[in-house]
Amino acid sequence: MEGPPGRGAAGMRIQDRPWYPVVFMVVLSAVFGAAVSTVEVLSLPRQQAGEQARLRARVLQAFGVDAPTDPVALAGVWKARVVEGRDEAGPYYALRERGRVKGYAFPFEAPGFWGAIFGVVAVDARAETILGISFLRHEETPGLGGRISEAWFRDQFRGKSLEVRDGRVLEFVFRPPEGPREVEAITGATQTSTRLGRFLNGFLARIPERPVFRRKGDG
Amino acid sequence: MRPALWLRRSRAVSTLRRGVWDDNPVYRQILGICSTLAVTNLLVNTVVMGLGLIFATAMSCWTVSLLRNVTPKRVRMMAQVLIIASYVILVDLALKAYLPEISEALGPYVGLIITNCIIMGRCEAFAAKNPPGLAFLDGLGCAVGYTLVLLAIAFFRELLGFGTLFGYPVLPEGVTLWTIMAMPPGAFFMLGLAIWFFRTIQKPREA
Repeated sequence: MEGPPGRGAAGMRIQDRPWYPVVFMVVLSAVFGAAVSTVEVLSLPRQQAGEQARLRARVLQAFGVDAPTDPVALAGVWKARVVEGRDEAGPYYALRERGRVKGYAFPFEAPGFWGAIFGVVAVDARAETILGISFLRHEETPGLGGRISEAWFRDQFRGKSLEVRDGRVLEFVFRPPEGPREVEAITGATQTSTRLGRFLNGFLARIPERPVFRRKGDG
Repeated sequence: MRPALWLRRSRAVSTLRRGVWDDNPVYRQILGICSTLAVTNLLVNTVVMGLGLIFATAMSCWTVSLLRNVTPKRVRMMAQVLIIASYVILVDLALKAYLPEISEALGPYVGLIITNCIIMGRCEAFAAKNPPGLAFLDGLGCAVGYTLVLLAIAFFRELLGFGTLFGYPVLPEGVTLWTIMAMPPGAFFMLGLAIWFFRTIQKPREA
C-alpha cells in the first residue's frame, strides 16, 4: 500500500495504530471521570446540608409548623422544638410545645408508580389523630402523581383519626370526599394513589403500636 | 481582512440562526421530543431544563470539536456520549447542590438530557467537522431554539392547565382549568399545534 510520503509502514501516524482507539478512550474516560468526581466530592457537603435542611423542613411541615426558608433560622427552630429519637421500629421525631411532647413524626418509604415515595407522617402524642403528612422525595409524574406534594392533597390528612375500621384507617376515593375518613385521590394518577393509599393504611394502623407510645403508657 | 472578518461573523450569525429558527431542532427536525413532552407543564421546570440543555449542548459540541482531529472514527460515538454525559452530570450536581427543589421536580429528566438526540445529533452532524467556536455557536443555537419552543408550549400548558405563569396566578377565580393541559395528552396537542404554527409562519421555504 502506498501512503503519503514519509508515512511508510514504520512511520505510521499514531492515530492509525491499532491500539490508539483503546488508549484514546482510556485517557478520555480518566480525564472526564476525574473532573466529574472532583466536582461531586466538592459539592457533597452542600448537597448533604441541603438534604438535611429539606428533611427538617418536611418534618416541621408534617407537624403543621411553619418552617423558615433561611437555613440558620430553620436550624434554630429545629434545635428548639424537635428531638430526634429512635425506637426498635426505626427513627422518629418528637415535637415539643411548652415543655411537653405535642406529637411524633415517622419517616416512611412507600411504593409509588415509578419508584419509592419518601415521606413523613406526624401524629399527636397519644396516637389518636394525624397531624399531617409531607413528602420528601418521589419519582412520580410531575403534574399527576407528583401532585401528592401539593398542599390540597397533604392538607386532607390533617386531623384524620388513626382508628382502624374495616381494616383501614383512611379511604382513598376518586370523587369529592364525604365522610370524615375519606381522602380524595388524584385523578389521572390512579396507580400512585392506590399504591400510596394501600401502604399508608398499613403504616398508619401500626403507628399506635410503636414502642415510643407504649413506653409512655407504662410510665 | 475586513470582508473575511465580516464573512466569518456572518457565518457565526447564520449558524446561530439556523439552530434557533431555520432548522429548529423541535419543529423542523422533530428531535428532543421526549423531554419536550415531559417538562413543559410548568414554566419553571422548562427554564431549568432549557438552561441545562443549553450548557450541555454548547459545551459538548465545543469539546467534541476540539478533539475532532485526534478522535478515532471508530470510537467517536463512545467519546461523544462520554463527553455529553460528563457535562450533564455536572448540570445535575449543580442543581442538586444549589437548586434542590427544582432538581427534585425535574427528577430523572436532567439525567436524561444525556439521551437527548439534539446533543448527539449536533455533535455528529456539525461539531465533528467544524472548528470549536462555530461548533459552540451551533450547539448554543440549537439548544436555544429548543428552549424557546418549549417555553412557548409551557406558557400555554401552565396558563390553561394551572391558571398560573411561573407559579403566579394570572387567571381570575372561577375560570375552568383545562386539566388535560397538565397531563401528557396536553403536551401532544400543544406540540402538534406548535409544529403546525411555526412551519406555517416559516413559509415560503424550499423543500
